[in-house]
Amino acid sequence: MDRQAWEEIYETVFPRVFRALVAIGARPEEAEDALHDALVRALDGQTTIQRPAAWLFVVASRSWRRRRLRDGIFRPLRAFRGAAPAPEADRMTLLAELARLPLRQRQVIVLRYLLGLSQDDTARALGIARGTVAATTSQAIARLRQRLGAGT
Amino acid sequence: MNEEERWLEERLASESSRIPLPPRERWFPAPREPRRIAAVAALAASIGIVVLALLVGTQLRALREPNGGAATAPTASPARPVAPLPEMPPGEIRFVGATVPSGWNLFGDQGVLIATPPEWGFPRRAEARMGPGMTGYLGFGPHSVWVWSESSVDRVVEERWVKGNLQPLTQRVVQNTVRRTIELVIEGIRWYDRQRGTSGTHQARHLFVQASADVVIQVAVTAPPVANADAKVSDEERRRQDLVATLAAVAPDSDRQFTRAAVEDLFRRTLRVFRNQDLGAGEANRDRLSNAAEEWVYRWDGGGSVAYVLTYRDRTALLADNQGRRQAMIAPGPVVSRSIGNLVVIVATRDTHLQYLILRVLNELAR
Repeated sequence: MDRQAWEEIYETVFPRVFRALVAIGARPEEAEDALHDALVRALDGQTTIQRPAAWLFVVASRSWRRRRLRDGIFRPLRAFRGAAPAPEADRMTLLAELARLPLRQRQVIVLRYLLGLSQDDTARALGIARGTVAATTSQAIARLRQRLGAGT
Repeated sequence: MNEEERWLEERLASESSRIPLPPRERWFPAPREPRRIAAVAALAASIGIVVLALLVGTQLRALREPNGGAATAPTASPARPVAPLPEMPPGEIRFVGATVPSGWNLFGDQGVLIATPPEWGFPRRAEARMGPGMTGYLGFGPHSVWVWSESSVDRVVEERWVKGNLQPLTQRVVQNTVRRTIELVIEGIRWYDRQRGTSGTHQARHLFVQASADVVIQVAVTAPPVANADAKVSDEERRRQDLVATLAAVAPDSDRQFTRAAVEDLFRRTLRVFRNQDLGAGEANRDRLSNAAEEWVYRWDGGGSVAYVLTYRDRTALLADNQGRRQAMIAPGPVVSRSIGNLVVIVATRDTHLQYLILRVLNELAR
Protein backbone atom coordinates (compact mmCIF):
# COMPACT_ATOMS: atom_id res chain seq x y z
CA MET A 1 0.00 0.00 0.00
CA ASP A 2 1.55 3.33 -0.99
CA ARG A 3 1.76 6.41 1.17
CA GLN A 4 -1.15 8.24 -0.43
CA ALA A 5 -3.45 5.24 -0.14
CA TRP A 6 -2.50 4.86 3.50
CA GLU A 7 -3.16 8.50 4.24
CA GLU A 8 -6.58 8.29 2.64
CA ILE A 9 -7.47 5.19 4.63
CA TYR A 10 -6.15 6.77 7.81
CA GLU A 11 -8.29 9.83 7.25
CA THR A 12 -11.34 7.65 6.76
CA VAL A 13 -10.87 5.48 9.84
CA PHE A 14 -9.43 8.16 12.13
CA PRO A 15 -12.74 9.07 13.86
CA ARG A 16 -13.61 5.45 14.63
CA VAL A 17 -10.15 4.47 15.84
CA PHE A 18 -9.69 7.70 17.80
CA ARG A 19 -12.98 7.11 19.62
CA ALA A 20 -12.11 3.47 20.17
CA LEU A 21 -8.88 4.51 21.89
CA VAL A 22 -10.69 7.00 24.09
CA ALA A 23 -13.27 4.31 24.85
CA ILE A 24 -10.60 2.00 26.25
CA GLY A 25 -9.30 4.78 28.50
CA ALA A 26 -6.90 6.98 26.55
CA ARG A 27 -7.15 10.71 27.03
CA PRO A 28 -7.90 12.54 23.78
CA GLU A 29 -4.37 13.94 23.46
CA GLU A 30 -2.93 10.50 24.22
CA ALA A 31 -5.15 8.96 21.53
CA GLU A 32 -3.90 11.56 19.03
CA ASP A 33 -0.27 10.85 19.83
CA ALA A 34 -0.81 7.11 19.69
CA LEU A 35 -2.52 7.33 16.31
CA HIS A 36 0.30 9.48 14.98
CA ASP A 37 2.76 6.81 16.10
CA ALA A 38 0.70 4.12 14.41
CA LEU A 39 0.49 6.08 11.17
CA VAL A 40 4.25 6.63 11.13
CA ARG A 41 4.68 2.89 11.55
CA ALA A 42 2.17 2.16 8.82
CA LEU A 43 3.94 4.50 6.40
CA ASP A 44 7.14 2.68 7.10
CA GLY A 45 5.78 0.01 4.76
CA GLN A 46 7.44 -2.91 6.50
CA THR A 47 4.19 -4.57 7.52
CA THR A 48 1.44 -6.16 5.46
CA ILE A 49 -1.84 -4.85 6.82
CA GLN A 50 -5.15 -6.56 6.16
CA ARG A 51 -7.59 -4.55 8.26
CA PRO A 52 -6.30 -1.01 8.65
CA ALA A 53 -8.73 0.15 11.36
CA ALA A 54 -8.02 -2.86 13.57
CA TRP A 55 -4.30 -2.68 12.89
CA LEU A 56 -4.16 1.04 13.72
CA PHE A 57 -6.15 0.43 16.90
CA VAL A 58 -3.92 -2.37 18.13
CA VAL A 59 -0.66 -0.58 17.29
CA ALA A 60 -1.93 2.71 18.71
CA SER A 61 -3.17 1.08 21.91
CA ARG A 62 0.27 -0.49 22.43
CA SER A 63 1.89 2.87 21.87
CA TRP A 64 -0.55 4.49 24.29
CA ARG A 65 0.27 1.93 27.00
CA ARG A 66 3.99 2.47 26.54
CA ARG A 67 3.54 6.20 26.88
CA ARG A 68 1.33 5.72 29.93
CA LEU A 69 4.04 3.67 31.56
CA ARG A 70 6.58 6.37 30.95
CA ASP A 71 4.21 9.08 32.11
CA GLY A 72 3.83 7.21 35.35
CA ILE A 73 7.48 7.80 36.02
CA PHE A 74 6.90 11.52 35.82
CA ARG A 75 3.70 11.52 37.85
CA PRO A 76 4.79 14.46 40.02
CA LEU A 77 4.56 16.66 36.93
CA ARG A 78 1.07 15.70 35.95
CA ALA A 79 -0.51 18.63 37.76
CA PHE A 80 1.16 21.23 35.60
CA ARG A 81 1.50 19.42 32.32
CA GLY A 82 -1.57 21.14 30.93
CA ALA A 83 -3.15 17.95 29.68
CA ALA A 84 -6.77 18.04 28.59
CA PRO A 85 -9.23 16.45 30.99
CA ALA A 86 -10.56 12.99 30.35
CA PRO A 87 -13.98 12.76 28.68
CA GLU A 88 -16.93 13.27 30.98
CA ALA A 89 -17.36 9.67 31.87
CA ASP A 90 -20.24 10.29 34.22
CA ARG A 91 -22.38 11.32 31.29
CA MET A 92 -21.28 8.26 29.31
CA THR A 93 -22.32 5.46 31.56
CA LEU A 94 -21.30 2.51 29.43
CA LEU A 95 -17.91 4.04 28.63
CA ALA A 96 -17.35 4.76 32.31
CA GLU A 97 -18.07 1.13 33.19
CA LEU A 98 -16.01 -0.07 30.26
CA ALA A 99 -13.06 1.87 31.64
CA ARG A 100 -13.25 -0.22 34.83
CA LEU A 101 -12.74 -3.49 32.98
CA PRO A 102 -9.30 -5.06 32.46
CA LEU A 103 -7.51 -3.77 29.36
CA ARG A 104 -7.88 -7.04 27.44
CA GLN A 105 -11.65 -7.03 27.94
CA ARG A 106 -11.85 -3.37 26.87
CA GLN A 107 -9.84 -4.11 23.72
CA VAL A 108 -12.00 -7.06 22.80
CA ILE A 109 -15.26 -5.19 23.36
CA VAL A 110 -14.10 -2.20 21.33
CA LEU A 111 -12.74 -4.30 18.47
CA ARG A 112 -15.87 -6.41 18.33
CA TYR A 113 -18.64 -3.86 18.84
CA LEU A 114 -17.16 -0.49 17.94
CA LEU A 115 -14.83 -1.42 15.10
CA GLY A 116 -17.09 -4.28 14.01
CA LEU A 117 -14.57 -7.13 13.82
CA SER A 118 -15.62 -10.76 13.90
CA GLN A 119 -14.35 -13.08 16.62
CA ASP A 120 -11.77 -14.51 14.22
CA ASP A 121 -10.52 -11.09 13.16
CA THR A 122 -10.40 -9.88 16.74
CA ALA A 123 -8.36 -12.93 17.69
CA ARG A 124 -5.94 -12.30 14.82
CA ALA A 125 -5.65 -8.57 15.61
CA LEU A 126 -4.80 -9.21 19.26
CA GLY A 127 -2.78 -12.34 18.64
CA ILE A 128 -4.92 -14.50 20.91
CA ALA A 129 -7.07 -17.60 20.41
CA ARG A 130 -10.63 -17.38 19.13
CA GLY A 131 -11.86 -19.15 22.23
CA THR A 132 -10.18 -16.53 24.40
CA VAL A 133 -12.00 -13.80 22.48
CA ALA A 134 -15.33 -15.55 23.03
CA ALA A 135 -14.71 -16.09 26.73
CA THR A 136 -13.39 -12.56 27.25
CA THR A 137 -16.38 -11.08 25.43
CA SER A 138 -18.80 -13.08 27.46
CA GLN A 139 -17.16 -12.11 30.77
CA ALA A 140 -17.02 -8.45 29.79
CA ILE A 141 -20.65 -8.28 28.73
CA ALA A 142 -21.72 -10.04 31.93
CA ARG A 143 -19.82 -7.53 34.05
CA LEU A 144 -21.17 -4.58 32.13
CA ARG A 145 -24.70 -5.90 32.44
CA GLN A 146 -24.24 -6.48 36.13
CA ARG A 147 -22.87 -3.02 36.77
CA LEU A 148 -25.29 -1.14 34.57
CA GLY A 149 -28.31 -3.12 35.60
CA ALA A 150 -30.54 -5.21 33.39
CA GLY A 151 -32.91 -2.36 32.61
CA THR A 152 -30.42 0.04 31.03
CA MET B 1 -25.53 -11.33 17.18
CA ASN B 2 -27.78 -11.90 20.18
CA GLU B 3 -29.87 -9.33 22.02
CA GLU B 4 -27.22 -8.51 24.59
CA GLU B 5 -24.63 -7.93 21.91
CA ARG B 6 -27.00 -5.70 19.95
CA TRP B 7 -27.66 -3.69 23.11
CA LEU B 8 -23.95 -3.31 23.71
CA GLU B 9 -23.20 -2.34 20.11
CA GLU B 10 -25.93 0.29 19.96
CA ARG B 11 -25.08 1.77 23.31
CA LEU B 12 -21.36 1.81 22.53
CA ALA B 13 -21.98 3.49 19.18
CA SER B 14 -24.26 6.06 20.78
CA GLU B 15 -21.90 7.00 23.60
CA SER B 16 -18.72 6.94 21.57
CA SER B 17 -20.25 9.22 18.94
CA ARG B 18 -20.34 11.91 21.63
CA ILE B 19 -16.57 11.75 22.09
CA PRO B 20 -15.36 14.96 20.41
CA LEU B 21 -12.82 14.55 17.65
CA PRO B 22 -9.70 16.73 17.53
CA PRO B 23 -9.57 19.46 14.86
CA ARG B 24 -8.94 18.06 11.40
CA GLU B 25 -5.47 19.60 11.14
CA ARG B 26 -4.35 17.55 14.13
CA TRP B 27 -5.28 14.20 12.67
CA PHE B 28 -1.94 13.82 10.94
CA PRO B 29 1.41 14.21 12.68
CA ALA B 30 2.87 17.63 11.98
CA PRO B 31 5.22 18.51 10.52
CA ARG B 32 5.21 15.70 7.99
CA GLU B 33 8.35 13.68 7.76
CA PRO B 34 9.94 13.60 4.31
CA ARG B 35 11.70 10.32 4.89
CA ARG B 36 11.51 7.38 7.22
CA ILE B 37 14.56 6.83 9.27
CA ALA B 38 16.57 4.79 11.73
CA ALA B 39 16.32 6.58 15.03
CA VAL B 40 19.08 4.66 16.71
CA ALA B 41 21.86 5.72 14.39
CA ALA B 42 20.70 9.32 14.42
CA LEU B 43 20.55 9.37 18.19
CA ALA B 44 24.01 7.93 18.50
CA ALA B 45 25.23 10.78 16.33
CA SER B 46 23.51 13.31 18.56
CA ILE B 47 25.42 12.12 21.60
CA GLY B 48 28.63 12.63 19.70
CA ILE B 49 27.97 16.30 18.99
CA VAL B 50 31.03 18.45 19.44
CA VAL B 51 31.08 20.54 22.59
CA LEU B 52 30.43 24.24 22.15
CA ALA B 53 31.14 26.56 25.01
CA LEU B 54 27.92 28.32 25.81
CA LEU B 55 27.58 30.16 29.08
CA VAL B 56 30.61 31.12 31.10
CA GLY B 57 29.52 31.48 34.71
CA THR B 58 32.48 31.85 36.96
CA GLN B 59 30.28 32.03 40.02
CA LEU B 60 28.83 28.61 39.29
CA ARG B 61 32.25 27.04 39.18
CA ALA B 62 32.12 27.23 42.90
CA LEU B 63 29.47 24.56 42.71
CA ARG B 64 32.24 22.14 41.90
CA GLU B 65 33.49 22.49 45.45
CA PRO B 66 34.23 18.86 46.22
CA ASN B 67 33.07 18.72 49.83
CA GLY B 68 30.13 21.09 49.77
CA GLY B 69 27.36 18.51 49.83
CA ALA B 70 26.31 15.43 51.63
CA ALA B 71 27.31 13.15 48.81
CA THR B 72 31.00 12.62 49.09
CA ALA B 73 31.71 9.69 46.85
CA PRO B 74 34.84 10.21 44.78
CA THR B 75 34.31 11.81 41.41
CA ALA B 76 36.29 11.38 38.22
CA SER B 77 35.79 15.07 37.45
CA PRO B 78 38.91 17.13 38.07
CA ALA B 79 38.72 19.33 41.14
CA ARG B 80 38.41 23.08 40.53
CA PRO B 81 39.45 25.96 42.78
CA VAL B 82 36.91 26.60 45.50
CA ALA B 83 35.17 29.97 45.31
CA PRO B 84 32.29 31.55 47.19
CA LEU B 85 28.87 31.44 45.60
CA PRO B 86 27.64 34.91 44.75
CA GLU B 87 23.98 35.75 44.37
CA MET B 88 22.52 35.05 40.95
CA PRO B 89 20.35 37.96 39.82
CA PRO B 90 16.84 36.66 40.46
CA GLY B 91 14.98 35.84 37.31
CA GLU B 92 17.81 36.66 34.93
CA ILE B 93 18.22 33.98 32.29
CA ARG B 94 20.64 34.36 29.43
CA PHE B 95 21.22 32.03 26.51
CA VAL B 96 24.12 32.72 24.13
CA GLY B 97 24.42 36.16 25.67
CA ALA B 98 20.83 37.11 24.89
CA THR B 99 18.18 37.61 27.52
CA VAL B 100 15.42 35.03 27.65
CA PRO B 101 12.05 36.77 28.14
CA SER B 102 10.33 36.25 31.44
CA GLY B 103 7.99 33.27 31.51
CA TRP B 104 9.63 31.41 28.65
CA ASN B 105 10.25 27.69 29.02
CA LEU B 106 13.73 26.21 28.85
CA PHE B 107 14.68 22.82 27.50
CA GLY B 108 18.06 21.16 27.51
CA ASP B 109 17.76 17.99 25.50
CA GLN B 110 18.21 16.48 22.05
CA GLY B 111 21.74 17.88 22.31
CA VAL B 112 20.58 21.51 22.30
CA LEU B 113 19.49 24.27 24.63
CA ILE B 114 16.18 25.84 23.61
CA ALA B 115 14.02 28.60 25.07
CA THR B 116 10.42 28.82 23.88
CA PRO B 117 7.49 31.15 24.55
CA PRO B 118 4.80 29.93 26.96
CA GLU B 119 2.28 30.04 24.08
CA TRP B 120 4.10 27.10 22.52
CA GLY B 121 3.48 24.87 25.53
CA PHE B 122 5.58 21.86 26.40
CA PRO B 123 7.16 19.78 23.65
CA ARG B 124 6.67 16.28 22.36
CA ARG B 125 9.99 14.60 21.76
CA ALA B 126 10.22 12.52 18.63
CA GLU B 127 10.61 8.81 18.98
CA ALA B 128 10.15 7.45 15.49
CA ARG B 129 10.47 10.34 13.10
CA MET B 130 14.22 10.73 13.02
CA GLY B 131 15.72 11.24 9.58
CA PRO B 132 19.17 10.85 8.04
CA GLY B 133 21.32 13.49 9.68
CA MET B 134 18.49 14.48 11.97
CA THR B 135 19.41 14.00 15.59
CA GLY B 136 16.59 15.60 17.51
CA TYR B 137 13.03 16.86 17.32
CA LEU B 138 10.86 18.83 19.70
CA GLY B 139 7.27 19.31 18.56
CA PHE B 140 5.23 22.23 19.92
CA GLY B 141 1.88 21.66 18.23
CA PRO B 142 2.13 23.37 14.83
CA HIS B 143 5.64 24.60 15.64
CA SER B 144 8.81 22.52 15.96
CA VAL B 145 12.53 22.50 16.57
CA TRP B 146 14.66 20.11 14.52
CA VAL B 147 18.32 19.29 15.15
CA TRP B 148 20.52 18.25 12.25
CA SER B 149 24.04 16.88 12.36
CA GLU B 150 25.31 18.85 9.39
CA SER B 151 28.20 21.16 8.58
CA SER B 152 26.12 23.73 6.73
CA VAL B 153 22.59 25.06 6.58
CA ASP B 154 22.68 24.74 2.81
CA ARG B 155 23.20 21.01 3.05
CA VAL B 156 20.21 20.61 5.34
CA VAL B 157 18.00 22.77 3.15
CA GLU B 158 19.06 21.46 -0.22
CA GLU B 159 19.94 17.83 0.35
CA ARG B 160 18.19 16.56 3.44
CA TRP B 161 15.07 18.53 3.91
CA VAL B 162 13.50 20.11 0.84
CA LYS B 163 15.62 18.84 -2.05
CA GLY B 164 16.47 22.38 -3.07
CA ASN B 165 13.03 23.41 -4.17
CA LEU B 166 12.90 26.41 -1.84
CA GLN B 167 14.82 29.66 -1.75
CA PRO B 168 16.99 30.21 1.30
CA LEU B 169 17.47 33.84 2.30
CA THR B 170 19.87 35.28 4.80
CA GLN B 171 18.90 37.58 7.60
CA ARG B 172 20.21 38.69 10.93
CA VAL B 173 18.22 38.75 14.11
CA VAL B 174 19.34 41.19 16.74
CA GLN B 175 18.55 41.24 20.43
CA ASN B 176 20.48 43.59 22.65
CA THR B 177 24.00 43.26 21.29
CA VAL B 178 23.54 39.73 20.00
CA ARG B 179 23.65 39.12 16.27
CA ARG B 180 23.29 35.72 14.66
CA THR B 181 23.19 34.64 11.09
CA ILE B 182 19.96 32.85 10.43
CA GLU B 183 18.75 31.35 7.17
CA LEU B 184 15.11 31.77 6.31
CA VAL B 185 12.97 29.52 4.14
CA ILE B 186 9.33 30.29 3.40
CA GLU B 187 7.12 27.43 2.36
CA GLY B 188 3.53 27.41 1.15
CA ILE B 189 1.60 24.28 2.15
CA ARG B 190 -1.57 23.30 0.34
CA TRP B 191 -4.24 21.62 2.41
CA TYR B 192 -7.65 20.12 1.76
CA ASP B 193 -10.34 19.17 4.26
CA ARG B 194 -12.37 16.44 2.67
CA GLN B 195 -15.05 16.46 5.33
CA ARG B 196 -15.81 20.15 5.13
CA GLY B 197 -14.91 20.53 1.46
CA THR B 198 -12.61 23.46 2.24
CA SER B 199 -9.05 24.07 1.13
CA GLY B 200 -6.36 26.71 1.12
CA THR B 201 -2.68 27.27 1.68
CA HIS B 202 -0.88 28.11 4.86
CA GLN B 203 2.61 29.36 5.36
CA ALA B 204 5.44 27.52 7.07
CA ARG B 205 8.37 29.67 8.08
CA HIS B 206 11.64 27.85 8.73
CA LEU B 207 14.68 29.41 10.37
CA PHE B 208 18.06 27.65 10.30
CA VAL B 209 20.94 28.41 12.65
CA GLN B 210 24.43 26.98 12.37
CA ALA B 211 24.78 26.37 16.11
CA SER B 212 28.22 24.74 15.95
CA ALA B 213 30.62 23.39 13.34
CA ASP B 214 28.44 20.36 12.76
CA VAL B 215 25.04 21.14 14.24
CA VAL B 216 22.24 22.98 12.49
CA ILE B 217 19.10 23.88 14.44
CA GLN B 218 15.87 24.44 12.54
CA VAL B 219 12.96 26.33 14.07
CA ALA B 220 9.72 25.90 12.12
CA VAL B 221 6.51 27.84 12.61
CA THR B 222 3.30 27.15 10.72
CA ALA B 223 0.35 29.51 10.28
CA PRO B 224 -3.02 28.02 11.23
CA PRO B 225 -4.95 26.99 8.11
CA VAL B 226 -7.86 29.27 7.14
CA ALA B 227 -10.53 28.04 4.72
CA ASN B 228 -10.21 29.44 1.20
CA ALA B 229 -7.31 31.68 2.20
CA ASP B 230 -3.55 31.95 1.96
CA ALA B 231 -2.75 32.11 5.68
CA LYS B 232 0.51 33.78 6.72
CA VAL B 233 2.49 33.53 9.94
CA SER B 234 1.54 36.51 12.08
CA ASP B 235 4.05 39.26 12.89
CA GLU B 236 3.89 38.35 16.56
CA GLU B 237 4.61 34.68 15.86
CA ARG B 238 7.48 35.69 13.59
CA ARG B 239 9.03 37.77 16.36
CA ARG B 240 8.73 34.86 18.77
CA GLN B 241 10.24 32.47 16.25
CA ASP B 242 13.12 34.87 15.53
CA LEU B 243 13.95 34.94 19.21
CA VAL B 244 13.70 31.15 19.62
CA ALA B 245 16.19 30.76 16.76
CA THR B 246 18.45 33.47 18.18
CA LEU B 247 18.60 31.75 21.57
CA ALA B 248 19.08 28.20 20.25
CA ALA B 249 22.46 26.66 21.10
CA VAL B 250 24.27 23.36 21.34
CA ALA B 251 24.30 21.79 24.81
CA PRO B 252 27.85 21.16 25.97
CA ASP B 253 28.76 17.50 26.19
CA SER B 254 31.86 15.71 27.39
CA ASP B 255 33.62 12.43 26.81
CA ARG B 256 34.88 12.34 30.40
CA GLN B 257 33.77 9.93 33.11
CA PHE B 258 31.57 11.21 35.94
CA THR B 259 30.05 9.72 39.07
CA ARG B 260 26.52 10.15 40.34
CA ALA B 261 27.95 11.70 43.47
CA ALA B 262 29.44 14.53 41.42
CA VAL B 263 26.04 15.43 39.98
CA GLU B 264 24.29 14.95 43.30
CA ASP B 265 26.79 17.28 44.94
CA LEU B 266 26.18 19.96 42.32
CA PHE B 267 22.42 19.71 42.62
CA ARG B 268 22.51 19.68 46.39
CA ARG B 269 24.56 22.86 46.59
CA THR B 270 22.56 24.57 43.85
CA LEU B 271 19.34 23.91 45.72
CA ARG B 272 20.80 24.89 49.07
CA VAL B 273 22.36 28.14 47.89
CA PHE B 274 19.77 29.38 45.42
CA ARG B 275 16.57 27.94 46.84
CA ASN B 276 17.38 27.07 50.45
CA GLN B 277 15.93 23.63 49.80
CA ASP B 278 17.20 20.17 50.57
CA LEU B 279 17.71 17.73 47.74
CA GLY B 280 16.96 14.76 49.98
CA ALA B 281 18.87 11.53 50.16
CA GLY B 282 17.65 10.06 46.91
CA GLU B 283 16.96 6.40 46.29
CA ALA B 284 17.47 3.73 43.71
CA ASN B 285 14.87 4.11 40.99
CA ARG B 286 12.52 1.13 41.12
CA ASP B 287 10.70 1.99 37.87
CA ARG B 288 13.76 1.47 35.74
CA LEU B 289 14.25 3.60 32.65
CA SER B 290 17.02 1.32 31.49
CA ASN B 291 18.61 -1.93 32.53
CA ALA B 292 22.06 -0.80 31.51
CA ALA B 293 22.59 1.97 34.02
CA GLU B 294 22.58 2.57 37.75
CA GLU B 295 19.56 4.82 38.34
CA TRP B 296 19.00 7.17 41.23
CA VAL B 297 15.98 9.38 41.81
CA TYR B 298 15.72 12.53 43.95
CA ARG B 299 12.58 14.41 44.90
CA TRP B 300 12.26 17.83 46.48
CA ASP B 301 9.81 20.70 46.66
CA GLY B 302 7.25 18.43 48.31
CA GLY B 303 7.61 15.88 45.55
CA GLY B 304 6.76 18.46 42.85
CA SER B 305 10.26 18.32 41.39
CA VAL B 306 12.18 15.23 40.47
CA ALA B 307 15.63 14.39 39.15
CA TYR B 308 16.92 11.13 37.71
CA VAL B 309 20.60 10.38 37.34
CA LEU B 310 21.48 7.42 35.11
CA THR B 311 25.11 6.39 35.50
CA TYR B 312 26.57 4.12 32.85
CA ARG B 313 29.74 2.10 33.19
CA ASP B 314 31.31 4.34 30.58
CA ARG B 315 30.36 6.46 27.62
CA THR B 316 30.44 3.49 25.28
CA ALA B 317 27.80 1.76 27.39
CA LEU B 318 25.64 4.88 27.29
CA LEU B 319 25.92 5.15 23.54
CA ALA B 320 25.01 1.49 23.19
CA ASP B 321 21.90 1.82 25.35
CA ASN B 322 19.13 3.02 23.12
CA GLN B 323 16.47 2.19 25.68
CA GLY B 324 17.62 4.56 28.40
CA ARG B 325 18.39 7.47 26.13
CA ARG B 326 15.12 7.10 24.27
CA GLN B 327 13.22 7.11 27.56
CA ALA B 328 15.02 10.28 28.49
CA MET B 329 14.21 11.83 25.13
CA ILE B 330 10.51 11.40 25.27
CA ALA B 331 9.99 12.41 28.86
CA PRO B 332 6.92 14.66 28.91
CA GLY B 333 6.58 18.17 30.22
CA PRO B 334 9.06 20.77 31.45
CA VAL B 335 12.06 18.51 31.56
CA VAL B 336 15.77 19.10 31.27
CA SER B 337 17.19 15.91 29.82
CA ARG B 338 20.92 15.98 29.30
CA SER B 339 23.50 13.44 28.27
CA ILE B 340 26.98 14.27 29.55
CA GLY B 341 29.89 11.87 29.40
CA ASN B 342 28.66 8.59 30.87
CA LEU B 343 25.60 10.21 32.52
CA VAL B 344 22.02 10.87 31.54
CA VAL B 345 20.49 13.50 33.81
CA ILE B 346 16.76 14.21 33.77
CA VAL B 347 15.37 17.04 35.85
CA ALA B 348 11.70 17.97 35.94
CA THR B 349 10.60 21.05 37.83
CA ARG B 350 8.15 23.90 37.34
CA ASP B 351 10.73 26.38 38.62
CA THR B 352 12.05 27.74 35.32
CA HIS B 353 14.87 29.69 36.89
CA LEU B 354 16.02 26.61 38.76
CA GLN B 355 15.99 24.72 35.46
CA TYR B 356 18.26 27.43 34.11
CA LEU B 357 20.62 27.11 37.06
CA ILE B 358 20.72 23.35 36.59
CA LEU B 359 21.45 23.74 32.89
CA ARG B 360 24.32 26.02 33.81
CA VAL B 361 25.81 23.69 36.40
CA LEU B 362 25.52 20.81 33.94
CA ASN B 363 27.24 22.95 31.33
CA GLU B 364 29.99 23.60 33.84
CA LEU B 365 30.25 19.89 34.56
CA ALA B 366 30.64 19.20 30.86
CA ARG B 367 33.51 21.68 30.44
